[in-house]
Amino acid sequence: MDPVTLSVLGHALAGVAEEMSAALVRSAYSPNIKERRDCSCAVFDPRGRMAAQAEDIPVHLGAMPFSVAAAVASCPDPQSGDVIVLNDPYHGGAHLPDLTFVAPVFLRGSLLGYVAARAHHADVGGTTPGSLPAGATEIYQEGLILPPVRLWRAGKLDDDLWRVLLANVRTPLERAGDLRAQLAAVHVGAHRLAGLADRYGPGILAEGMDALMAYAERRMTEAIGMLPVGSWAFEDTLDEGQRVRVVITREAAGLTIDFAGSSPQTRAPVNAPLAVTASAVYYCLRTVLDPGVPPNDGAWRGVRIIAPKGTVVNAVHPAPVGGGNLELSQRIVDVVFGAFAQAVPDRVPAASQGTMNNLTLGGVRADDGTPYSFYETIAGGAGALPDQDGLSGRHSHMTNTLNTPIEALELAYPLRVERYELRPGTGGAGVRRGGDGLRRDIRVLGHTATVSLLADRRVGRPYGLAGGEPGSPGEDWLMIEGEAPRRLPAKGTVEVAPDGVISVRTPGGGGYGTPASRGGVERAETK
Amino acid sequence: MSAGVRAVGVDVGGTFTDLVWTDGVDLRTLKVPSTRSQEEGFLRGLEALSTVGLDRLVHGSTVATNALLEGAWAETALLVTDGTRDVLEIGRQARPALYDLQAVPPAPIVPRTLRFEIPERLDARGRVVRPLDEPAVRAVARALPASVRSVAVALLFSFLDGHHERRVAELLRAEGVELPITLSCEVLPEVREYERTSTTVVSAALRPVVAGYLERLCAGLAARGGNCPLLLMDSAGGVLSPADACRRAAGLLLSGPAAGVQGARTVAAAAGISDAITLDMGGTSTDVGLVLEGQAQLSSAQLIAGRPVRLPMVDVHTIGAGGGSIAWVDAGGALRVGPRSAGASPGPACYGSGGAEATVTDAQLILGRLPADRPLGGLEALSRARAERALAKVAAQLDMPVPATAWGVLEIAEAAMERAVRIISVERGHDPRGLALVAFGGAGPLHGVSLARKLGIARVLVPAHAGVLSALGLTAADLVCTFVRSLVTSWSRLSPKLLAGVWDEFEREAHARLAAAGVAHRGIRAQAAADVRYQGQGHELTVACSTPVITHADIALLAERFHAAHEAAYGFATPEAPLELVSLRLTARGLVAKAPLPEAPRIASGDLLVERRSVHFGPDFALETPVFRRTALPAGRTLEGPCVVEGEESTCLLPPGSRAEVDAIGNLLVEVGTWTR
Repeated sequence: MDPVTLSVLGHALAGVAEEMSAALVRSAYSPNIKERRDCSCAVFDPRGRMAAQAEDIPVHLGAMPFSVAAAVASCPDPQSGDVIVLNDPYHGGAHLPDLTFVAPVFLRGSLLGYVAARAHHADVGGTTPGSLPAGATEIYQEGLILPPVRLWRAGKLDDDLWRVLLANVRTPLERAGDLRAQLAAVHVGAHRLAGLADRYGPGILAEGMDALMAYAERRMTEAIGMLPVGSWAFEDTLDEGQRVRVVITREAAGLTIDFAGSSPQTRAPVNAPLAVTASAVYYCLRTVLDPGVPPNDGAWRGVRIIAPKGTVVNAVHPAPVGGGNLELSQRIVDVVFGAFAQAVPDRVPAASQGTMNNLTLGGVRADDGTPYSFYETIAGGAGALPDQDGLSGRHSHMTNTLNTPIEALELAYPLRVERYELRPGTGGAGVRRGGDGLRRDIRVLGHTATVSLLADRRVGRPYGLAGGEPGSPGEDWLMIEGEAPRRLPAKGTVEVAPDGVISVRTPGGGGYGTPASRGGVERAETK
Repeated sequence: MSAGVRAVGVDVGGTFTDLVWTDGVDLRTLKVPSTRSQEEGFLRGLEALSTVGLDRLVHGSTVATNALLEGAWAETALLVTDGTRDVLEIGRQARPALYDLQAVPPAPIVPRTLRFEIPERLDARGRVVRPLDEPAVRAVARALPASVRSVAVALLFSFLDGHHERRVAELLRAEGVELPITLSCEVLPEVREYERTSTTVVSAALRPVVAGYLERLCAGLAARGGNCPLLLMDSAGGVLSPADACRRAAGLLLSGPAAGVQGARTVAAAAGISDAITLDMGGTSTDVGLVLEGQAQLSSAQLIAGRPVRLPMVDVHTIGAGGGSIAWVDAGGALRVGPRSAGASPGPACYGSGGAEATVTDAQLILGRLPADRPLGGLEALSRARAERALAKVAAQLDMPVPATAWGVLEIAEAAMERAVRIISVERGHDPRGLALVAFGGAGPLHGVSLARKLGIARVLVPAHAGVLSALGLTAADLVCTFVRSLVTSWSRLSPKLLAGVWDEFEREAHARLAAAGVAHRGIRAQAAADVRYQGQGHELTVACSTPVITHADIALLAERFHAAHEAAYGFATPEAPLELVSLRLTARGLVAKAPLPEAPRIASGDLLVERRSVHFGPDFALETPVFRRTALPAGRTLEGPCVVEGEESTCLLPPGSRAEVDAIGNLLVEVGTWTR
């Protein structure tokens, strides 16, 4: 294909995915999608290979093709107007709150490809509000499981399935609004993809998708070619001891990322299905090698991921996975970066906070007796780069969702945010300093709240590089007037009495380079 | 509107200061180089226009924008609620780029050492749960370093009740603080503390900068003996007195783009077009805006230089593509255009000012859309040889002929623009196919028709003064003041008393401000609106109201309109779900006398045909094409594509299949049509 048509179609297909995301965010009902933009959209060819994806959140980066593959396998005779929904991590999903819509797209009877829209729903049932129970031992406790099923057949809603779905969630009105937003996104995608086929011809469109994948493959091959030949190993753990081990090998043939030696899957919700592991690996490759490679099937052809079945990085049914997406994914990034740091030390940052600090509060309001559920993730310190300090109080790596404004939170829930500030000095020292973590104190007003925390790096510390010191670990406290503050476990659920304050203090990032106090160079700037 | 009103618009841009003088019969335009101190170029230009007996002098300024971009703001202190000192620095906790680890957010305007915590607290209903610690405020006043030149105050929930913020200001004054004090409850009484604090801080930090500039400018105007009052265009397309401009300095940030959209709106209205996408394409970037029902669309959710400024502003989206965008071949062998730009200096290769890389303008030249080797308007002759050399390098890497490469550069640049315009439209819930396109700026008229075809747009308007349209827009703007107040109240708690109180306050303030600017009571038009959402929803929809909502019947009507608007925007409504009123808004417009747009000549003057030359309309396909002189086109004249229309400041391309008519005021109205070879 000529380079002009290639570039024009590249814009057009990326534009389709972006318009889908814009439609989804615009029409979503819940703050998690609308304000925090916890969603992703992508376009696929008729064989289910990803052709383009919007720049959304990294944890969805490699996971969408698994969804489309599962949808295609479950629905071998797609019709125009079909929309398949799924969240089963063992059939194309990542964790249960992420519901994915997949729709085949036709023009005059012939299949042009698929469009997919994924969104993180604030609740999908299960044992605790927010559907991320820290105590889950099996996936059944984490919420409603949807294998790939048709929610719309030839444009007609399956009303029975719709009612089953909404009967299993705590906030059905909000879910219905968000599901309709996902439908709006796949409609926009289908309409625009058909429009492109009409404008350029279905043959050129198909050829263009192939050519774009080949183009991404060339770019990634080029980038991998800049790596030295060799093999680098690294490992790190979650606070409870689950180990992620990686060996990265660069040979003439390409790149192998081998997770052999990682811990067996565990009866705690920190296991990752392969889709999540792939996302984390692809995130690292894009970041370190070439952020400009368009995310499509071709980009990953030269990369082989080996993740033994039944381990934390490729869990099998019925392991719980709620936090695999959130916490283990961050540790996978840490070990892949740790290995890359040995190969290309000038391109890789020290470890960032390595957690998303997932906090869920739920209960019944004292004034009107209505239930509520509130979920958020809390940012922390980023690892220092060889030539710059790490960011303070920002999300790192696999997530980038916004915070909930204090005023918006207090208007909606019986809670009061009493402190939201940086933790100066928690970033690791170094020639370049790690970013500082955050502290967020929330008071429970007039009722007893169920508080679930799913966080990590409370024991282990985000590593420094090249002599830089590690970041400080996080801490979580329960403070009740007249009592001594109580340290909370980072993964667990606790009942908080009226007027109790939960204080989440997030980790700092690792430093880079031996700090001045140990004989290193003085930092160029001070904060 | 009245003939005989003599108005001047002065639009200061990065490279040129554009001036338009009109009295409704004649129109004179002038471009002078912009100066580092903007008032110098302004005054020099005004001198050259030799204006006497002016009735209106309206200014579009980039002084606030430049100060923000360059970090040249005044040192500012910030007082916040205890426990929230770092809100300004944490922002919304997101990093600025997903895969680029080196990207950093802009540093907070107020450093941590100048952010002071004050013990006090209101709850989400505006009730005091912790009284203001007055001695703590006094202590801050005494601790302010001498270098501080402005103070901002942003306390939690002050949008519900500003009495703590006002008391803080009183205490600071009582302690002898004479600096300007900017309160968040006055700048932006709207929910969401980070955005409100950021807007307040930006406003406070720019206030001394804007005040200093306007003092120098007004002194210069007084010195040359003019007694015409100066007005400034604000970001929402209205005009302000210098005193109001200082009080809300952040309101000037999109002054320039607002003038452009106003200009486009004005010429479109004169041509009977009320719904349009505006496309202002310059050397380095393209501003895309939206006019609906004859009004420039506003948004208050914009980031300026990476910082949220939540004031109502023209909803202009800037795309990093323009005439200077550079073509290159990437590591995967794909032809790319931008985001790097040759800008005004060194400029495209054909300018001969040292640029060696091929740009969009070079491609236009190679394809015959711009004249080679002879002067054009105010520009020096463009060198075809230099353009060829630059493009030949790109062509060699692709192993393609030079004209096909140039064609590809334009196709790719337009594909990027199409993608951006579509997303802007989807995000705002509009289908571009129902709109017209107003194409202006130096490069807009070359791409307008082709881009319209790609977007499915049927009509393009190329204004008569496409190169100085922003300055023209300045002469036609009304005085505007806008008000917003967040209530965040559930529907069942709304009462006529509560609502009437807010509207009364808005109207009193609006009339006082417009009267001070010389607008008579009968010249004031108010437009009310309300932000409404379903309870539990994280975002709201702004719904226009024909009159301020007060009575229970008004409230019921507003609910109906909200459900309808939700259905229109998102495809569904939930009439049984409870509603919440988030904010009330009022826009008061003080109508001012304007000069009508001068008419185009009725009979042709001078030679219409400049030349015939070969112009490409495909990678390997060219047609012998007539080139017409824009100034020689009389009203009513029709043109058939293919042809090129050369104006003073811009060149318009009509490809085969398109057809244009010159309207009464000299606009080209283009039916884009279709064409296949």
